[in-house]
Amino acid sequence: MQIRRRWFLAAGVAVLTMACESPQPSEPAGAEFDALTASRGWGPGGADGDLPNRPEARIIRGIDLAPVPLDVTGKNPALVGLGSYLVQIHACSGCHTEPNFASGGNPFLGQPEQTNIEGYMAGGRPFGPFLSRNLTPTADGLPAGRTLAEFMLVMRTGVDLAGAKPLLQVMPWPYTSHMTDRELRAIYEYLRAIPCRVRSGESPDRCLD
Amino acid sequence: MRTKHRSSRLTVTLSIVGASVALVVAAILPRGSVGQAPGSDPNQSLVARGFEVAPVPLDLNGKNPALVGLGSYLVNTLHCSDCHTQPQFAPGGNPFLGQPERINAENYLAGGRPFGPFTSRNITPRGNGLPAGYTRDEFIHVMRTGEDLKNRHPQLSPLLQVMPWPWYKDLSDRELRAIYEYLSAIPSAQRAQ
Repeated sequence: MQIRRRWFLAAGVAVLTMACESPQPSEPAGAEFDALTASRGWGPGGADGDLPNRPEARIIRGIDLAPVPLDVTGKNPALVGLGSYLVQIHACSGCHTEPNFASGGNPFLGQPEQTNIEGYMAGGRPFGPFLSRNLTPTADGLPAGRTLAEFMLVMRTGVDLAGAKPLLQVMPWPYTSHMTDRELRAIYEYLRAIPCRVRSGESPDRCLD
Repeated sequence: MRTKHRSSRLTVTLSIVGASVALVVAAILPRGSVGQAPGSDPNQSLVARGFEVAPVPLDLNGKNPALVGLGSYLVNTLHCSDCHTQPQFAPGGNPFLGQPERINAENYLAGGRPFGPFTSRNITPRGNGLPAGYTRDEFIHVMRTGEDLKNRHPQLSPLLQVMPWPWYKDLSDRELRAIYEYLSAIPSAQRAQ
């Protein structure tokens, strides 16, 4: 029963994604999302075993993997799930979360992994003269304060909309530039859904309405 | 308990109804009228895009082309060559300098980038055809656990210390197999001297 329900939900989400997805997804689809998150006890690897070779497996796995609570109000939950999966497998938090792991939760030291939730995607990792950016949503709900169009432009061209240099010099945009529109939109949708974070040195107003 | 059971049945029913309605809508609407970007079909486009972005000739002999294409998409968007190709770009082809991108095809994925005491590995096929000399099971094991099967720095750690395996471990089996299939299809390469 559990597995059948999961399949039905997966099929529903996938079909809804294909049928309803629009460049500016706005339809609130909280019910499907609630049902999916209610199933978070599936455990790691479940998607591999039970949903092989199906695009919706990435969506469901993504919802399973998200280390922070997600606000899906007014967002497309299938895109949020896919975005979560992509942000994880692209190791975005490897550079954009500093430090990567909570104290005692560093897998490179053989410890059981625990993501640094407090600093998740808030940037602040130094690379010589460069510093990874805070990608969490600002008070207006825009990830890193960027619109979808701006985000797509940065991911495709590396243009630094905020800095003195014309091009981002550490962000691997020459590689993200090859990603499909759908995947980039999904990453944006996920970054809209994660909690705002203020890094040390940033204005606490960042997250205030 | 009973309410919970009923609500889950309701969820199933709603899902079936929703999926059926959406299927009908999707079937009625002409392709492309539902706001999908070109090439956004989740399965096919990744494979096709993978073949478009592969910077080296691929040997598909005896390999699964769909897996090779998906693997190419993953390897070339997950920026594997950011660390495993040294230098990343051919002379005059560095996009970070505003130049039109040209990957360093000659040393593609042959490793050699230093990270303190560590050096990125050559993950191209060896004489026996195995990427980095690993069988598929060994490759998937390394990607999931970070265990350094070559034990190159036992004095520092038995685990890979730079490779972002804590993230890549969450790739699906199929995606890891696809990456392996692609790495089996690229040319064997040497590091730049």
